[in-house]
Amino acid sequence: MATRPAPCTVRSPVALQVGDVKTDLARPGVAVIDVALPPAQPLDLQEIVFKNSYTAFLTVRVQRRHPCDVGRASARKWVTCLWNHCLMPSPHTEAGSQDYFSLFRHQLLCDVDQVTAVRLILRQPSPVWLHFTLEELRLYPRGQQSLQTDFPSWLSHLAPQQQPENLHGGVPDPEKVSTEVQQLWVLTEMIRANQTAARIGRFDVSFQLALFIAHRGWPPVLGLLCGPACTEGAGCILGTGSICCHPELLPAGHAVRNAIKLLGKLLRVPGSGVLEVGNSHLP
Amino acid sequence: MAACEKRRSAPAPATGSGLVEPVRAGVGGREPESEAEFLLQAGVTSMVREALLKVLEARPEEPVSFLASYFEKLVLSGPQGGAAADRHRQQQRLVRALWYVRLAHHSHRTAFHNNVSMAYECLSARGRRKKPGVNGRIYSELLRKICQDGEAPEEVVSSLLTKIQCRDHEAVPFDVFRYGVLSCVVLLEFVAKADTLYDILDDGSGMADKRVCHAVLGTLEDALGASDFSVPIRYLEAGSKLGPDCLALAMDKALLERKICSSMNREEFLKKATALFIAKVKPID
Repeated sequence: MATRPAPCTVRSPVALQVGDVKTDLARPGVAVIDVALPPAQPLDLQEIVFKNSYTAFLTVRVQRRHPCDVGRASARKWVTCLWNHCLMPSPHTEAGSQDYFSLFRHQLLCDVDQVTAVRLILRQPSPVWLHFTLEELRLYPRGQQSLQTDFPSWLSHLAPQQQPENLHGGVPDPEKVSTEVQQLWVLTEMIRANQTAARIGRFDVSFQLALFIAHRGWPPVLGLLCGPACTEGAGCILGTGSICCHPELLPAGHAVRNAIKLLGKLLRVPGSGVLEVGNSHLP
Repeated sequence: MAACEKRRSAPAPATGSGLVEPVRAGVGGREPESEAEFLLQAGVTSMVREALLKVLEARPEEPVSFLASYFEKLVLSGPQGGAAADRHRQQQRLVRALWYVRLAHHSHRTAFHNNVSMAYECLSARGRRKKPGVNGRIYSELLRKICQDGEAPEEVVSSLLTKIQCRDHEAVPFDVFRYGVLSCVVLLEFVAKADTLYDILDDGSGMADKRVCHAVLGTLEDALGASDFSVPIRYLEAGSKLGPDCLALAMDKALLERKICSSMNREEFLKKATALFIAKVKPID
């Protein structure tokens, strides 16, 4: 859901029973769920959403605060805004027993502004069901819709808004074109979905390194050209004992570093070492 | 027939040399129970079962010719005399691998996968001294051969191959092998489909309007690049973009543009279309 339900505390259902709960064999047919709202902010109720769990009839009462006399305790009045609303058309059978329900403001008997508490009275006349309650109870405040509103436009208008009225004479049959293009799409998607993570583990650096030294002569300038796929062009780093770690070569960076060190030692280049450079030097 | 004899004798040593003689003598048919035994010994049972499995996997339109070529290949690939040159043997392995790859269409996923792994095994078998495995040379050759039998233009094939080929000395893991083979097979089908599409676009005149071609390919590109790969909703999005309504709109709009009416020939269209496909193929690294 795109919107948030109002913050409230849903108490566990209390069964109305005459006699002792433990010893009495008769099962209660009425239960009450109280919902407490934060006292500081009365709620303008828009929608009540819940999942039924074997409740046959629902009565909803709300406690309202009268807007004109705020502050007086007597101004809070309980009113019935839903009377014996049928959730299970036939209480002995399963129908509707686990459905999701959504009660909107316009379905209720009276205004539900400035609500400070909600009481749900659940009735189940059938003895078939051992327990009955409501689950996932949520209250949505007014001004917010529980409907998702951020659908992409192509989804809410399956047919394009602007229909071509009369197609230009030379247009090929769109049905046929669409069939073929969709198949092309499927094939391409398939190859994309089948990509593997396996690698050959290619690494061509040492060869290029040697080449590079040969070209430079003495004193040797150790450097590294980028891999064959480098688009920046050759010669992106030319410094003594420095190394260009092109992103492509990074996994092999360790090996490159060792190679440079070794070469530096072999050729006795003073101060040779590894200088890591990022991409910043690239043109 | 001589090859058949060799083939038959092949499994026999594995089951114990003592049993070979009675089997050969039993061809004349001595006892009823020895018939089943003979089939088992000679490897006919497993061979026929294998053949039936292949038919079921591939579900060919003409089973008889399929089976004929299957057994023909089996004869060819049977053990040869030591005189055959190594090069010749390798060539034969290549032919056999190629045949495996073509057995089932790639949309029969399991069958195709099995066949590709058979091809891989077949290529990776080596002489006694060499280590098993598929090297880049034979892999690349197989890919080239797969691409040859389609009608794909040379240029298109080579641009795909540069992406998925391996160098001669490289060892090719199975996953890379499978992906490479699949890419080639799918490319061939892609080219065939694109060809059909061109037939529709040119409306029998042999020359399709450039603007329309661009509009159609542009729509396809748009749908392919739609959104994040992992989000399932993009399938719906692509479906809506490639529906007849949207395409008609795009083509109509393209035709209304005030440009000089030029045409696009078939080669150019195929090249442009396959470029979209090849761009999605992951290069081997």
